[in-house]
Amino acid sequence: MKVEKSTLKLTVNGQQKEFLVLANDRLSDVLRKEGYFGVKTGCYTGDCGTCTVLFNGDPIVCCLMLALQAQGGAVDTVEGMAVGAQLHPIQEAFLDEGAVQCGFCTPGMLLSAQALIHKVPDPSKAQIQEALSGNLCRCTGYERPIRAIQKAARRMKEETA
Amino acid sequence: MAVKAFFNPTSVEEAVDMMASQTGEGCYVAGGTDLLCEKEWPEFVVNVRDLLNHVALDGDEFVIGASATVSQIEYWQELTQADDGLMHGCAKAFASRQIRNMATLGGNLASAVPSADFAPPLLVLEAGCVVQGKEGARALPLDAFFSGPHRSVLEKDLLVEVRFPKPAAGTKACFLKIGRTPGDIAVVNVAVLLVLEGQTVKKARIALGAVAPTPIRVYQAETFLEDKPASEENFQQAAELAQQAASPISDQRGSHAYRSQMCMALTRRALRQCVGRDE
Amino acid sequence: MTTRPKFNVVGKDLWRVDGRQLVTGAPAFTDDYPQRNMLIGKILGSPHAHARIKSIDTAKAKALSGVHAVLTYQDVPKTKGPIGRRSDLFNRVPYTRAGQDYPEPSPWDYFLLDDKLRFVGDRVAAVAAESEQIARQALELIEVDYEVLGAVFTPEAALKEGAPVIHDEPDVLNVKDPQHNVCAGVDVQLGDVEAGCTSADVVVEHSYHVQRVQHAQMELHAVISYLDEDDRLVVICSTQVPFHVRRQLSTALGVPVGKIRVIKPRIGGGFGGKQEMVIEDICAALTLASRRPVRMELDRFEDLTAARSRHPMTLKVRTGVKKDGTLTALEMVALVDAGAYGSHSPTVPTNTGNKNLPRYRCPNMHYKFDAIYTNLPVAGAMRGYGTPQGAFALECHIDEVAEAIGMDPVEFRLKTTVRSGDKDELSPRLYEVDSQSADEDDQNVGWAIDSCGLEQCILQGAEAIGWHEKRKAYAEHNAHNPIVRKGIGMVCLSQGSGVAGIDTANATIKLNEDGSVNLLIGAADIGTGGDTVIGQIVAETLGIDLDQVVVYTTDTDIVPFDSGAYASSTTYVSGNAALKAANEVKADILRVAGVMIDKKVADLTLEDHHVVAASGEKLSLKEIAMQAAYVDKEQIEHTASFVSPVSPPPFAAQFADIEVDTETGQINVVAFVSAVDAGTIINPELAAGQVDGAVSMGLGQALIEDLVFDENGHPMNKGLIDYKVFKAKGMPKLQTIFVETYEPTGPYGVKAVAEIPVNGPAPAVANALKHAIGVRLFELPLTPERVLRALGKMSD
Repeated sequence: MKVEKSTLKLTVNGQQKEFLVLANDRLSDVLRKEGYFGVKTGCYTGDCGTCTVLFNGDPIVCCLMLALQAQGGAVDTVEGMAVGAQLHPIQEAFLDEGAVQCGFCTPGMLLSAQALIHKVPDPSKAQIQEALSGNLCRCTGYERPIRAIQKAARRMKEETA
Repeated sequence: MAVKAFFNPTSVEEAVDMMASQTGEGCYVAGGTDLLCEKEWPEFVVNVRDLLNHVALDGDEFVIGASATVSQIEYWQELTQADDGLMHGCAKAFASRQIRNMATLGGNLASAVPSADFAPPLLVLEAGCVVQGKEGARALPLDAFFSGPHRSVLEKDLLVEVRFPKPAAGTKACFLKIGRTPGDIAVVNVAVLLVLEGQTVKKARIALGAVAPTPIRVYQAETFLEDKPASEENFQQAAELAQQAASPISDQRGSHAYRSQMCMALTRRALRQCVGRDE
Repeated sequence: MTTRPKFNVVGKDLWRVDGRQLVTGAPAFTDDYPQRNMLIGKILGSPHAHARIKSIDTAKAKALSGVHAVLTYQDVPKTKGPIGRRSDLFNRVPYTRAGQDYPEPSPWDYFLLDDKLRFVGDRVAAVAAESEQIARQALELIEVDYEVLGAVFTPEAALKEGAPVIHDEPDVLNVKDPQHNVCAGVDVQLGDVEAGCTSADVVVEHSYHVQRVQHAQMELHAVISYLDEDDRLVVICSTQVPFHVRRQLSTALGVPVGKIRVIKPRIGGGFGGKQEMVIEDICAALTLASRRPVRMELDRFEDLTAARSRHPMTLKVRTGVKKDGTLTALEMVALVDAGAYGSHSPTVPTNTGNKNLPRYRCPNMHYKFDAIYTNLPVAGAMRGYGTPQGAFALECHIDEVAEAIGMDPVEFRLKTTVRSGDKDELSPRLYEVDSQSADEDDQNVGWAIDSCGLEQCILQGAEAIGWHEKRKAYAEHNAHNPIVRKGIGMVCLSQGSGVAGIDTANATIKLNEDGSVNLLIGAADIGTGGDTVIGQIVAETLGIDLDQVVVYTTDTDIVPFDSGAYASSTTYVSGNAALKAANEVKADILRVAGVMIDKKVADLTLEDHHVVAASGEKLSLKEIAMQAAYVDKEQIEHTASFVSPVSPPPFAAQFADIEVDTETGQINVVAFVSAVDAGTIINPELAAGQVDGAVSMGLGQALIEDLVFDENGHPMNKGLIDYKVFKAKGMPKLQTIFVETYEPTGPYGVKAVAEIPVNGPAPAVANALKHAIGVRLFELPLTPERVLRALGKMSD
């Protein structure tokens, strides 16, 4: 069987993109190769969550998606959260609350949080714990990330009101 | 082995044709959450992620497409209301949000792991599956689907959908799972479904996972319970029958002694929760 | 105790200096710096726990298109004399990979590549190829014929007469007794423990076992090495110890230190696993052999099972106590599983004793450990560094002792733990035996305990968790034999702040013309927030804002030496060096200002971006800096060194409130309180975050983490699916209380916070479990099955 590259067309952070990929490529590796370093990899088995991105708005672990399966889809990475120099409220809340330590799990957590708040503007602590349970963290004990998400949700609710 | 070719069919027939016509080792891929964890990848894949993600109530029958994600099932309110939250409870205990957004019902069943979380609920819902191969489509009951650990009747056929009758009004059901952490692969999982008339059990269905070469129905416990009062003693007895029906192994996740003990404890607990008794 | 002054920057919850780059996912970690023409490096791991290579044939691997280097022990021959300019051969020299100051106390029992393999996953060979796929194929093409040797998997088995000798190579150095697999050991007594037991009213004796756990940090071990334009070896790596890596690379590869540059970018967690040169040497060797950039990253399975782990230990504790609670004898004997190489095995188990026993007042103490080689993965540094194992044994034991004389656990600890002004006489004895640079005078004097807030930690923590009420209420609840029982348990803890007399830090500060400063430190922020906290110390000293301190860390070409991130040294030791340098810069600023406004330096203060004279005259820092730069034409810049003669202990008390499901055996930790005395807290959110994270790691050790091996030494944990760590769901409600003492030897009163909170969760939960079910488990983890067996509820 001849190994050929195919064209993967998708939207990344709202921009139309075309990447040349192999059938064998994982979406996580393609995104990193194309410069989206906020997509981390920590296990390649979908357990750590550091490769979390939003696919058509839903958090997924993109190390478990073949790149070509994303054909025509929309991916959101952490690079799309800030607008220019202005950080997203969730990013600011994480810094306010000391929720960032080594930072390796942070992009994944931020995206999981963004997806949650979009669905549930007023999330309870239990809902936040649930939403973050696919993002492992060895630094924070999850305590301050949860507070940050609660804070961000409140602020975002006020801003849309 | 690396995947050399990626096929993207737009219909079930096309998918089955692609699988049949290629030489070499191929696999269907939907969520990818099992396949991409394998050490060895197939030579080609046929992508069915965007096919077969239908969920519907078709008359008196629930239909779930094989590519419906665990999240879809979790959020399907019509089903949750009809099955007393059985499938919803199973979905909620599954892995993580990210995995739930990708993993499919079909993938969970096709993996044929004894701990497949959706097997016990679908067994007590008396589900059947529709499978399509080169020779066309066929239907079979779910309890004829699994043939051993990691083995099902599928071979290279495509699991299309799962169907089960809408449970009678007032049906009580409960899914419980025990793992090392929340969302872990089951050390033991159990599904129980009861139809009561007053305090009498008119219909009982009990299924266990992760404690035998395949997920199993516990017919002896079901037969024992039917037409009996829903009492503590009878639940205890049924739970012990469930324990006896199981033949768990010891592995990384738990010893056979602990699994055996949990068959009994979880079955009893699930039965009690069906009738609203606090544990 | 000194009172704390009012601070402007210290004590504030400021955004971390690297915060923006981390929340935006900026390329900042090792793997975010790919190089052109980079190759992928991979290691062939041994399939056997103990084997010798009879023959190894790399011809097919080398012939595979896209393979640029294949290395085996045959490329690491014993030669006489220097290698010279040949880069495809490496001298066989023994060295250690444990990140500590030279001369390392560890055995020098590693070789770059050896013909003997000592654990499953040990280095057989390494390849560098153009892609991951080709590298994997190349590994499969290496043909190895092994002579499989007998293997041992417990210290007991390794000590038996006739056991296989794991380090029988003649050129290994610094191993205590290689013929008997004894890697290291110490035996130290204070007073007379036997006499103490005789004079006791009650003697309590138990044995405890702590399992093998692992760091499971999110960022895998990663290295990118290359030769720069000047043919210098550059190594970008995820490490806690860049300067030790540089030195050890020099030893291993025969390249002069001056020709090596180590760069530490952001690190995605280390926790001690990266206080070690795990793959930097072999990756750099592939670069030297191929003359190409090489990227090597362990996969998660390798990271879990072939990198480093905590030391499993069996600890026997014996105590003598009088009915009034006075301790008359305190003895701990530890049998330690070192794994296949020596690494941190002389020093980790030393901490087990000296960071635990001395917090109790007892005139007779005995601590002994033996660290034994086994054919299992290497045990190295891990957060707490031996203290958690000793804390589990001792704090469980103290509860048993309290119970034996009918005292409440809190009451007993209030009575028996040390106070400010007490002396630790055990530690200098342990260090005298262990360390090569301990001051002789320290031996018999004892280390003074200056700042000590332990009593307040116990009292405030007890109040926060509701100790007395719940101790009673839960006992009543449990008496009715409910399915869900409740329990509450507590522990107290101590640690250290850096390694006395050894840990070294330097800091360089240079003043820019706008009043901002560049702070160059060798300290390794591994996610701890060290850059920020040290920046705050400097900002406080110079009267500027944190964002005017440009923190640059660890590039060994640019920043001055620092031992690295371990032993809870970053804030205390590295912070002290920065404080010293800042004070020297401050002196220069005042000097220049004094000339500018014709005032004596003694009349000037530096505050809020200004030099202010006693008379009220003010000069802005910017004016002074411009004067220095463009008028005086002087660069104000200072480098300062710091080594501490002492290691002032932080103290803590931790409390666990749990529920036990007596049908499933599952333990649910409902609430957890940590009351910590770490001296002054520079950045409360960052410090509290450290406590939270340490608690989640300690709870993992208590309940769900376990690295296990089959009877042939093969790891059973396939990955994170089987090595369970705490997730967000399942974490208890966490509360952290800081009891801020003021440590006079620490910068602005600081001690240390990063390790101590990991020590307590396991014994606290075990003590709570005893309260809940009336039975003690002596072994970790506290699994549901063990709980059910203790309850007699398993029907088999």
